[in-house]
Amino acid sequence: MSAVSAGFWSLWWGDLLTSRFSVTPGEGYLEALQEENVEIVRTSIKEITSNSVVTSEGKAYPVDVIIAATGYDTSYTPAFKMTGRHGVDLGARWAKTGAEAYFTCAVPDMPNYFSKFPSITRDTSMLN
Amino acid sequence: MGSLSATPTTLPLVTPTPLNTPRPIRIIVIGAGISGIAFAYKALSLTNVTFVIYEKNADVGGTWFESRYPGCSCDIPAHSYSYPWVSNPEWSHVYVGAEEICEFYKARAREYNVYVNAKFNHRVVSCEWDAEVGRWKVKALDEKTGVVVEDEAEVVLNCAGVLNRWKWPEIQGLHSFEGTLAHTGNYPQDLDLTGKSVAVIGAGSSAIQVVPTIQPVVKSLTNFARSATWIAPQFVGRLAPDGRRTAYSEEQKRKFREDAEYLKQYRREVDHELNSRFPNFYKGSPRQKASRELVEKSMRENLAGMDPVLRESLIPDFDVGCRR
Repeated sequence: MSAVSAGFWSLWWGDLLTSRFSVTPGEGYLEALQEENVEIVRTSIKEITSNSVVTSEGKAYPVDVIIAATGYDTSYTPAFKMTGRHGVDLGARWAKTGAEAYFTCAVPDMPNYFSKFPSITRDTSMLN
Repeated sequence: MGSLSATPTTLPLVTPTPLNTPRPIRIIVIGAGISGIAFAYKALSLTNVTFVIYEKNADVGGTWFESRYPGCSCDIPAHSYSYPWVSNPEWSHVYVGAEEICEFYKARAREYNVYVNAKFNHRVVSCEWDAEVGRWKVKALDEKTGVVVEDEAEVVLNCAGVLNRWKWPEIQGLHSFEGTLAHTGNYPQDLDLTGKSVAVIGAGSSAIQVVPTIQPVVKSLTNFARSATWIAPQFVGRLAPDGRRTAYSEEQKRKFREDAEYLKQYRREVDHELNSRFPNFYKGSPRQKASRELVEKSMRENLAGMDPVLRESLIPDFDVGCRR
């Protein structure tokens, strides 16, 4: 990991730094997976019934609550109809080409339209 | 129609406005999240610009107004998650929760006149370029009255963000489930998980915040994690020796409050620490290899108590930084 000016850090973190320098703490996710009331299942889900999640191996897990932490539509196409010069439909174009933009903010045929995150990359890893 | 015999209008030889006077520009901004609020700040220094912000929600904040699942917080330090031009000496922790982030940006919105210029509960439904007049014709649905309002402007800024169109997983029978079905992107605030058996589907950024947060209160938790995810040691570990729990002391906050230059320098160091990770994202680079080794080692250490086969299956086979 990169060097940080020691003088500055020593103002606040001094002794904490020296003791914890090489051990950077995690989120607590991996630790939680090993708690007694937690199980991680790697098999894909085949179906969900009225009271259970059933894996492709046929094992049923009865639960009270299902929380889907399955994310968002990150296609970057505007949620509204966007019609630019010569009747170009941005949603239709990006459905074919993927989200393409000049310097990630300006788009051909969309004059004076500037966008946050149309993104020329399809990768969300740098988003937040 | 005027008659031909009327005195013809003559164009003035000299316009009444001085040279280089900016012509009036109207701007329509879509979304009053962090980007929309930032524009309101920038607009304070623009001449001859008027603007309106259409916001589909009832208040400002965008992602941080909507995302309220258990454990939702920023995963880069809060001091880096602030505009470059305004520091917040009051951040309670190195990593702060959604509510605290939203409150901070709400205060900025008040300061930058967002509440004067925003129309809430207005969802933009279409933008159409009118080449004749050189303006965008914008339609927005007033969610409260059902009326579609029409507006126009020279410029449209789309500040709508991407973390708001949450979607259900495509799983057979999902909606036949008779218990409580929730999505992290639209989390019910009154859902009490105490003593419940809970399934969490997913292993992305939301899931890895939800799982450790609800684990202490639920009866049992099953995490369905089809794909492996790199669980990196927390960014800026040395800044946050106690991870997510690292709080700023009163003394630290007082120093931040009293010494603006000191706070600015502190923020520079935080940014530097984050930016210096960038080489890890170069595919096949020595830095990426090194960071992969580091993260693998950290994961194995953190999973020491787990069945070795399961543990190894949780280590991804793709490179660090490819996705999250």
